[in-house]
Amino acid sequence: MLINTVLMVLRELLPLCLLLATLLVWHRALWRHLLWCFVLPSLLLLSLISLNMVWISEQLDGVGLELLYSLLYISCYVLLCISAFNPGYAVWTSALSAACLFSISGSHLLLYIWLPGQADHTPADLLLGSALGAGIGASIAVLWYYLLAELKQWRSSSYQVLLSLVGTRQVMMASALLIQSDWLPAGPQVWHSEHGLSEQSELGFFLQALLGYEATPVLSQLLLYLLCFTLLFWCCRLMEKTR
Amino acid sequence: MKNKELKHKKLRPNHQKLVAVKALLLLTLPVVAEQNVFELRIKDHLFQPSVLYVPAGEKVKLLVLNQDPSPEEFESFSLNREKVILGLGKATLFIGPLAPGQYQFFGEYNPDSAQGVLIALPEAEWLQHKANHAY
Repeated sequence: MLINTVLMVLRELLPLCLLLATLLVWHRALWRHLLWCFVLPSLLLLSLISLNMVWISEQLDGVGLELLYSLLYISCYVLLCISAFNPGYAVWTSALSAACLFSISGSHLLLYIWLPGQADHTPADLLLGSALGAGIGASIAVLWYYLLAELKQWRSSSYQVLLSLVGTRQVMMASALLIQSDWLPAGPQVWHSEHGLSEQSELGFFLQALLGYEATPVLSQLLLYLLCFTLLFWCCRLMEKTR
Repeated sequence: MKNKELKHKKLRPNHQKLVAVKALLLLTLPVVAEQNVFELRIKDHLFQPSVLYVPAGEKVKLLVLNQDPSPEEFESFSLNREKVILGLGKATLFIGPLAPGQYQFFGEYNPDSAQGVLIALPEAEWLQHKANHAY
């Protein structure tokens, strides 16, 4: 089960690592402040969700957890918009947006690692798999950080586009959960690119973590994605103009 | 007066754009109909049944019951669904409308054992299947 643990940890941590790397490029001068503002709310949110997970999952005809995660994803996106729109609170709101994402990833990982039934996995497998998964995620995030740092210096609009894509990814995840819970109508499937770029391939996996790539998106997801990307990008452009 | 006319002229293209966006959004709304409910159980890290037949072209409600003490994550790339079901818990998933065909799903936490396939049948075949299996 080593490889399963590696994939699980990587799947949960990679989007968070990429978001943190993106935010660290933005708040380079205040990175310590950003990380401190990130750690405490993250742990608080994670504790709240983990302690009440059973109760939450039973609410609203069994879709309570999905709705909570959707709310956290949307909050992450909204906080990023606020960060771009209002530079005065940018560090705090950016940190809170990352904390929202951490609480989702963290609760998934806690379920996998700590709850009963994991006796089949040896502690060594879990520890090694977690370390490998976290290490791979962190390495990719470091590369992403330096790429963004270079792009930001060379052309700030490209950084704004990538920040908007990373932010809009959270809306894509929320929409998938809402469609699954029947809280958002799906509509017809827009395209099927599974054969061209599978979500299970390495590139598909990375693009899913970075941009919210879907091989079979539906109309409502596509419309939301375009709308939210436009909004966040506009906020970023406004931030650039007011600087 | 001139200002009002100019305002109306400016509003007209925006109003047309708004109508177009509303029409696009309406396309995403489903037709309200009674939903079929299907049950899937997880026991000893296995899905039961491992082959589930559903009607194609309809939204269906999937009730997943986890009879194991450990949590499991129902995941399907082709269905675009993933859901964690806590130990001895149940979960509800909405799927479809699906095109006729086969859709693989698996348990993320136990992918070697927890595997299954959902087969969406066209209407005629679904009615035949229903008659044969008394749903």
